[in-house]
Amino acid sequence: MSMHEHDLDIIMALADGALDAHSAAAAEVAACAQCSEDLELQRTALRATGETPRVYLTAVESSQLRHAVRSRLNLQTQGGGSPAPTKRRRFRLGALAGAAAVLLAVVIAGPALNLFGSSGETGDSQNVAFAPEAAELATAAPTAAPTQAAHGGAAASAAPAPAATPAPALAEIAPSDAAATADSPGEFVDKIELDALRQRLIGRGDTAVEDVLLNPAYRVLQQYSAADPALTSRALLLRVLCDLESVAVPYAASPATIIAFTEFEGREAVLVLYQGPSDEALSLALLDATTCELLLSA
Amino acid sequence: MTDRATEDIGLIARFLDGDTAAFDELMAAHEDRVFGICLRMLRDRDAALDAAQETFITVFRKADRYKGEAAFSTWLYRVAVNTCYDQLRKAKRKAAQPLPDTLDPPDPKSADSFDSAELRPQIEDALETLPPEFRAAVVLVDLEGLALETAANMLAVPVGTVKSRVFRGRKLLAKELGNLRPGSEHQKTE
Repeated sequence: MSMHEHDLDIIMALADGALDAHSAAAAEVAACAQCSEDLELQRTALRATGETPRVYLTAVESSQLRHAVRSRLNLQTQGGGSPAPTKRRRFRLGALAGAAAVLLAVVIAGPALNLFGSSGETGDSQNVAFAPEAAELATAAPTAAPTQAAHGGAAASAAPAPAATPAPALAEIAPSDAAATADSPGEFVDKIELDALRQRLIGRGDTAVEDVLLNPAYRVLQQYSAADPALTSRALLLRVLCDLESVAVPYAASPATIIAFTEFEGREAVLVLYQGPSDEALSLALLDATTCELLLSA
Repeated sequence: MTDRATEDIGLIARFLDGDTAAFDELMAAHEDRVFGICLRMLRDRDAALDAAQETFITVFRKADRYKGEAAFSTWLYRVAVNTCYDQLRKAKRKAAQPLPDTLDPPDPKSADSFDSAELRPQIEDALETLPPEFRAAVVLVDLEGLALETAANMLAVPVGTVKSRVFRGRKLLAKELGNLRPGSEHQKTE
């Protein structure tokens, strides 16, 4: 069929009303060079924009934004209900658990592999090398919380409030580990009572929870993708209450990422990863989970 | 009216009664989209956060004027777009000055880039070349997936105007994307 015959067929079909609306429009566009070019451009743009994922605030940004808006509106920080945790946060904490699993494996295997320069007695966590300053640093004065200034724009710093009420017990903040299910590790964070958690963190501003839990973790998380729901526990999540920012660790330049909950010399301990001064440098610290005392660092 | 819109009306009423939990719920419901619009309009994450902050402050300060005749989100996103227009105008006035570092694309290694779903740099670059009115229309309709009628309400223009802006915006975007492709004539001539 020649082009001319094809055009004739279209024109006749259009005249006869034999084409449905879509076909008729397609036929008309096909018969118009400018329309065809426009159509192609429209499709190109739609393909490009259609490939772009939705934009989300990070948990830290969300917290900072709300804090800044609250401050400028003179709204009370506490007393209102807790915002419903978003899916995004659940995902992240799930990933955090995954990262923790991988890093825990590395750290447990570390002495065996002499990763931390141990003295050779493999399999014993006491072989993790002590940093020279660890003993003094364990009792060092807290350092200032550094993460608030991540965004100079929207982030308004929280004025520390004096601790006036007794800190809630852990059981008031989160349910027992049994409430976490293996197939929904990140869901566990939904059950945390944020207001109670904030009371534990009073004096640090209400953005600190997300900052400590999430902010420095992302870079690390991207390196580890395996998920292990077994690490989804209250212990893991609540080690944040150790106020990691105030635990000075040698060579650490940023606040910590909770990596694992473990045991050391019969004590509950939490393994923490600190970002060093450069992207490559990391410091590991083992803290007593009850007293938050710095036990080891490497 | 959608469930979301109905719920928003109730939340606004509660907020005006001093219920700060309503504030949190409204923020949780809308902050991502407000931020998304701002980020796509302004390209810069900090600037988008600033614009989102201004947007929410404006809306909450004027919440008592909200009559519930249109969806709260329509009003909110309109304020967001207008705030971005203001910022773009201010940026234009400062155009003679060197661009600040913050206009660079976000560092993909930064903590904030984790699942932050940034636009692809090419699309960002192409979007930035669109006149603000076209950009807003494309962002709302094609990137945020809003209906033409909704976008028209938000932009306070007739539907036909939005349609025309989207059409012309897409054309410009597609042409710009073609130009930005490596080895394109546009790049060769630069």
